[in-house]
Amino acid sequence: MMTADIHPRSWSLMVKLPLTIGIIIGCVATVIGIAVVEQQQAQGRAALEERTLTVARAVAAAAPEAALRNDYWTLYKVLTTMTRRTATAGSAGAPVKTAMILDPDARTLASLEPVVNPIALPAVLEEETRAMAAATLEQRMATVRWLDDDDIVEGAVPVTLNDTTLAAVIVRLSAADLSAALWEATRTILALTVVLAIVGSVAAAMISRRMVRPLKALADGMDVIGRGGSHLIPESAVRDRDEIGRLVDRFNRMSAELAEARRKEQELAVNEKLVAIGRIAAGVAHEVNNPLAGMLNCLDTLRSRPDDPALVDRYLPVIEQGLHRIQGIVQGFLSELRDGGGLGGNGCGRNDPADLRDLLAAELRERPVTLDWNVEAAIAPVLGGVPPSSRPSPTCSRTPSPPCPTAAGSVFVPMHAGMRR
Amino acid sequence: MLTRRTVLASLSGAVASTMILWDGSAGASTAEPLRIGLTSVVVRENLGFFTEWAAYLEERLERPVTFVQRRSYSEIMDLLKSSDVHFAWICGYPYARHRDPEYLELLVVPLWNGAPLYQSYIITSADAPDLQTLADLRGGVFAYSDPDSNSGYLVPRDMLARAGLSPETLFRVSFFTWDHAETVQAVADGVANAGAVDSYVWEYVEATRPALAGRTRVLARSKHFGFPPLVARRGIGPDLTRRARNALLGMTDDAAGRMLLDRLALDGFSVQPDSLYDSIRTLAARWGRPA
Repeated sequence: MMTADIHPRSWSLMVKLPLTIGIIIGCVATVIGIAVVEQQQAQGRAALEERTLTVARAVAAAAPEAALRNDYWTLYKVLTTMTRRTATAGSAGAPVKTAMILDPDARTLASLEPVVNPIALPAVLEEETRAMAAATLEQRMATVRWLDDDDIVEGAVPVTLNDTTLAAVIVRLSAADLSAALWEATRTILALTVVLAIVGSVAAAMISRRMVRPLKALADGMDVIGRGGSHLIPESAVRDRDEIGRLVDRFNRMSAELAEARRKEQELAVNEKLVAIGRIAAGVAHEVNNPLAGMLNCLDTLRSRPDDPALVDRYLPVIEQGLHRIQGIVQGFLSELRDGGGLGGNGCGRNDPADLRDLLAAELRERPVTLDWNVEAAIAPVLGGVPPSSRPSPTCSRTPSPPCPTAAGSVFVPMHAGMRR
Repeated sequence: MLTRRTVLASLSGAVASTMILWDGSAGASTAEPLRIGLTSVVVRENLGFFTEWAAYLEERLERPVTFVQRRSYSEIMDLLKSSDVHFAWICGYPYARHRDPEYLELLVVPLWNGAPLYQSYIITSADAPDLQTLADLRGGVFAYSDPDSNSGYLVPRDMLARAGLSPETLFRVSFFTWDHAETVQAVADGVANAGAVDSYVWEYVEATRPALAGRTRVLARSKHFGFPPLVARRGIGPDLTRRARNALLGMTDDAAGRMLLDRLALDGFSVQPDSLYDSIRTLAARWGRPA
């Protein structure tokens, strides 16, 4: 269950949408930021290389005559003055790490670090720098390279006079300022990325909230409909006329139609219930009427021949049985109603054909009717399980017509001509 | 009665008077500027000071005054020789050198620490405790000030020679800074292991730029020599020379002059005999180069 809850597929759109948009904006901003930083780094490196060569060229331009005379002090002043002036000329001045002027034998003519590289002695140089200086002197062309893990850029420019190469100027500029500027740019871009991601997420949250709210209302409405409560669905507000707005509008219409249909169904059910109650009442009246008629006949017989003890002994139990039958019928109906089954039971008793025969005999008492009581085989199964609507009803009526359906063949009551009723 | 002679005499007198008045009213603004050459015997970085000093002298000499700077002593000497400057503040060695014909005249000699004398200092880096004697400079780099400087070239070579050291072979390399103050700079920056400098300049730098001078220390001091003099070019006229000398000598007599002298760290100017520079002549005869 927990796994299902934490899975992104189960997250709300109000979470997924801002998160997705925030991530997308963050990724886009990061990619753009990286590209900008890369571009800035490339431009910064190119600018620093150009600045390095500019410083070296400035020294080389002022140094030829002093180099020709081995005027060490003038060369030193040129070196200090030019490196200080050109390195700080730009707005983004790069500090000069060191600079020196070497003669063709790689001896120091001047150095910003005279203690490290004393004049007139072979310069203390890395092999790569020495090779670069030699190449510069030989090829008379400026060269530049990066060293110390791109912390320093080194440039070499020849000092020439009348097509004669007199010396080489080597200048090293620190890239610390460039690195600091790049780091500053990176931090700025990172901050912008975070801000953009947050702003994008907030905007996406607002947009998704606006989008998801009607969808959530639709989903809730569907749940209510699923639980059968379409009449409880409040109508969702339609703000926009876009796809979601149209969907909400259609849903509102559908829910209204469902509510109307449900209302009509309920009215129909009430009507059907009333009809069923009417039928039940009619059935009860019909079922009770038969034993009542038999009992009334018994009472008439007893009233006409009160002195006949045999009749009393014979009919009192019949009357009692009729009352029990009525009681049984009423209880049967109540039970059926409680069970929701409507009418049930047998109006002529459940399973006592003898009682029915007595009632019929009392009914037929002095009438020209022959009761052919041979129903054992036929009626017993019928009384046991046939639905009331199709159950044979060996009712006895005072009408000349057969009191019971003959289709079942259970009770055969031949009617003789000359009957009074 | 007016005669022709009387009228002509009156007209000529009026014209002459007008010319005299016009010349007098023109004052310093129309006369030829007095050009004073400067060398590295004095710290020349404060151009504002020399503007004030020129204004002071203009007021006393009633002529425009311009200070002319050149890199080396020899350039100023050439300007003196070619009459392009009237006066110059030069080193005692160029003054003491023999010239034929002589075109310089001793004007005044500055007084420093109460005397017209100064020394040559051999200075080295304050961060080089291993350098204790001149012999310790062997194999190092030495900075001279100027090949025509007494304290910055002649005296140190004599000091080395007296110590039994050959200035030609002692150092791995030597060079000229063409300026005493820059010699201090060269030693302080480590470009040179040692250098020779005018004691007045070193003390002046120590007073005005202690951070720079503090990176150096005096390794050896020479004996005293005549202070670098101000000289006049012969031929500018005794009156101008006298007026200039008086103006310089009189700087101690007024507040403005004393203020300027204070900024120069000098006590004043004095008139000294030419023999003050005989000791330099002796050195020049031994170690100097031909004029």
